[in-house]
This record gives sequence, structure tokens and C-alpha cells, in this order.
Amino acid sequence: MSRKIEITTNEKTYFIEALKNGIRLNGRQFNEMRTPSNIFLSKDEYGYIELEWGLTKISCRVSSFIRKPFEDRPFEGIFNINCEINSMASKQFENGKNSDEEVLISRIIEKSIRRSNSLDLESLCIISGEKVWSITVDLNFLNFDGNFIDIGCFGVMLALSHFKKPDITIINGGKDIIIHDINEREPQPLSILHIPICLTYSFYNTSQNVEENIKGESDEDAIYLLDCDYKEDLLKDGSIIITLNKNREIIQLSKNGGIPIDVNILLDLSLNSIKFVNELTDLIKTLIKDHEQQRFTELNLKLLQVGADR
Amino acid sequence: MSFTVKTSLLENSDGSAQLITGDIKLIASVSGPIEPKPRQELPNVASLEIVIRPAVGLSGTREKALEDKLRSLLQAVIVRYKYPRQLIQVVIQFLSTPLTKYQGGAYSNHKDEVEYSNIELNAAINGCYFALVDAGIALYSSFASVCISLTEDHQTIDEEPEYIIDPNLKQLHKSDSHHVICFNIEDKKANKILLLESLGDFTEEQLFTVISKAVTQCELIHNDYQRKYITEKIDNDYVWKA
Repeated sequence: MSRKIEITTNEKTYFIEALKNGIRLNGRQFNEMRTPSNIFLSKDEYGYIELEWGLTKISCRVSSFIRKPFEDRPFEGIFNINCEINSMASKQFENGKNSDEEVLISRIIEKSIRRSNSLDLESLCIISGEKVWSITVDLNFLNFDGNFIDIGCFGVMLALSHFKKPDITIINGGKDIIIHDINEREPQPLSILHIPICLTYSFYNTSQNVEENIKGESDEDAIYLLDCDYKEDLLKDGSIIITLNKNREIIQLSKNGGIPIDVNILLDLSLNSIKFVNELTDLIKTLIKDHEQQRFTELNLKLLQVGADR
Repeated sequence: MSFTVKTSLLENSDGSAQLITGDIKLIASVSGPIEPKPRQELPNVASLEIVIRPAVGLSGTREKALEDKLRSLLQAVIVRYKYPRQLIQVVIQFLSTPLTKYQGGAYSNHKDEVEYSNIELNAAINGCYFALVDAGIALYSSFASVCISLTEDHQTIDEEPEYIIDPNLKQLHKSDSHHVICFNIEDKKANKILLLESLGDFTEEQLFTVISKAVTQCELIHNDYQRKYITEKIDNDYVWKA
């Protein structure tokens, strides 16, 4: 018994015909993203964000605590991402059961952010082998309208940039530490080395010939869409997830089954993606900057500034 | 006590509500009646699937305990015989809790301190109400819940203890006990106790005082907030009907 929405053949044919004529049913261009809206950056907490991306909604929280590092990595902090999907997002996700789709989503996000070293783990070390910061990200998917990977990755990076951990002082010659209350001392932001951005392209083979479909010989029939919504997601014949950063580095590339794609298309996609990567990276940076500015004026932090402003 | 409620904000659920009360923020979603898995199916009534998700970390025994308490309450208010062999899914996602707020993110440094799941239960019940109404699930009556803490002055034994309605984390730390009381509400009047959870030291007499205070508070929640938000919601839903 699956609670997935089933799409009729009629609807599917209509959708494919529309694509052949260069039309997406949601009115977007083939390589057009939805823009994130209603971005909420918490003012009384560090590291909590909510955002909407089309109808997809997520919330993301970063929290930290101090613990002993792993024995084999005494200089490194610990960084974890939790992203469980429950039936709130969509009925197709069963509670307490990891579906393949869910596993894929969390793996890619993990691969893009954690394994690309976007968070500097060594800067989380307080006393080597004794105390390090452990950073946990809780990513909650509230409503599903396609493209959880790109949105989740964006949300996690935004939350990490928003997060600040309390300042600490090491005393007694490196034996003990004092954790300063966030109201006592200005908390410290995390050191983020680069901002990975995931982009998912979904492929559709418009060719009617089943044989060609399997072999993928008819390249001219292949259509790819950026940032697909729920319906487009259900009808896709394959997808590719590219993670890049502003330094034009490809962090991760995954293509899990589906129709084969031509090398040239892959190169084109990676090249075209740079535009979106720049846009989204800048968006994160401006959001954080504006937010800091707002907090600064609202809390009148200028009064607390010491020394000359050089 | 203050309530901020937004309803119908999730498209994939039949009913949803976001509740901000005190330092707690949560989203509740209700889907139902839908087709259950064979093992969930009950022949003559609707079965309930309740999921509570914490603001930080993965759900554990604490959330399971909360789910159980909420289930016993919802079983008593949902008209379950109306939906035989069906399933009603309730998901509650905590977004912020007092612990996340007070520690400014560095929350778990104080994890050893008492985990005040009872105030979360209080918010979960109140949030759930709006989501159930939004989903159009048949209820026997309205319900509202309140948290009251009790602080005794140990120097002067005969003094009346201090009762705080909807205490914050600091007040809870100082308190001797705290209670979550949920009443069902019929014709704007609190009627029966649906749930009573107490934690700490207290006497029978004190508990009765707490309950009598809860009656007026629950009626207040119902008349001032629940009615207001539901009227607002209906006005918005039927905006086409001039």
C-alpha cells in the first residue's frame, strides 16, 4: 500500500507533449529555479532558520555541545547532520521507516556538506584529545514539493552560516574551560571554508520508441529540467545531482540509474550551473549580512564596541 | 499566556497548525482519515498514528512517552467510530523549545538538567487542537490544556504556595512541582479532566487548588484564543462566500 500519488497516462502524455513544445506545466523555463521565499532567520537564537522554496518548506536548526573527540582524531570537532523525513512532509514518506528516497536525500546532503569539508573541523577543537565542539544540524522537512536535496543543502548552509557558538576561555594551563554566556561575550561564528550548492536536474526522454529509451541513443529527445516540483519529480526518467561551490569546484556528482546522458550534456550542465551557484551563494551571504546588521542596530551593539574602528 | 496560531500552512497535510506559546514553537499536522497499514487497522474505529519529533536530535524514549500521553487524550476526544478501518496521522514537530532558546544554541551543555517534557506536552496538546480542527476531524468537544507550577516558600510553612500559570524555564527550575491539566470544553465551560500530569512534590490539597485554577485558565484559552483563531480561520476559508 503506497500513498504515493499516481499519475494517469493521460496526464503523463500531456506533460510530455508540453515539454516537447518547450512548456513546463508550472510556467517556468527549463533551467529556471524557484526562488526561496519567506526566509526566516531567528533573531533570539543562533542557527535556526525556516524557508520556503515554492511549496517546499523546511526548517533547520544547528546546536552545539562540548564532548570528547574520537580517539583517532584528537584535533577534530564532530559534525553531524540529522535529516529524517516523516509523514508531515508528504504521505509517501512513512514514519520510522527509511525509504530509499529518504536515504538518498540524506546521503547526498551528507556527502555535499560534511564530506566536502565545508565546515572546518579543526577549528572546533578546544583541548586536543579532551574537549571539542560537536555540531549537530537538525534538518526538518515540513512540506514536500520536490527537490528536497537542493533545498535541504541550501537550508543547512544557511543555518550553519547563521549559527554562533559561545565563546570559551581556557584556564588552569589547558585543563579547564569557561563557557561564556552568549550575553556576556559575543559568540563566535563557525569557520565555513566553502558553501556547497546542490543542483538537481531531472531528465525526461520524450522519444516514444522504447528501444531508444533504454539505449538513450536519441539525445535530441532528452530534456532536462532544473529544480523539479512534485509532479515533475514523479514523472522523471532519471536525474543528476551536481554539487558545486563558488570556486568552480565540483564537489560531488551523482547519477543514480535512469536514462543515460551524453557527456556533452553533462559538461553543459556543469557549466550552466555556475550561474545558479553564484546566485545562491550570494543570497546566503547577503541574507546573513543583512541579518547581522539588523541584529547590530536592534540590540544597539555599537554601545558595547571597544576601541577604535579601524 | 499568549498564543500565536497559523493554520493551513502545509499543503500536503489535511490540517496543520503552527503554535507559538511562551518559548515553544511547534508545527502540528493531521492527515486523515486515510487508508491504514493492515496491522494498524481496527475493525470498528479509527486508529491513531502519533509522531512527536524533538527540536534537537532524533526522537527517543522521551518522545515516545509524550506520544503515549497524547494518544490517550486524543482517543478520548476524536469521534473514532465515525472512521472505522481508517487511520488518522498526527505529527508534531517541535521547532523551538525553552532549552534551545535559553542556551542560545549551546543547548546540550545543560542537557543533564531536568528535561521539562511536561511543558512540551502542554504545547503539543494545544497545537494539536488547532490542527485537528483544521483537518475537519470530528471531535466530541473542544479541549484546552494549561501548565501550572507550584513554588513553596520553605521558610514559612504555613504560607500559601505560589502558583504560576504557564511558567518559563527559570520559574520551573525554582518550582517544587508542575502540573499539566487538560479539560474538555463544552458550551464555553470546562467540563471533565482529560489529562493530568504532575511532576514533583505536592499535597492533595494543593493539587485541588491547581485543578480549580486550571478550570478558569482552560476556559480563558478557549474563549480568548481558540474561538478567535477558529473564527478567523473560517472567515478566511469562506472568503469566497460573500
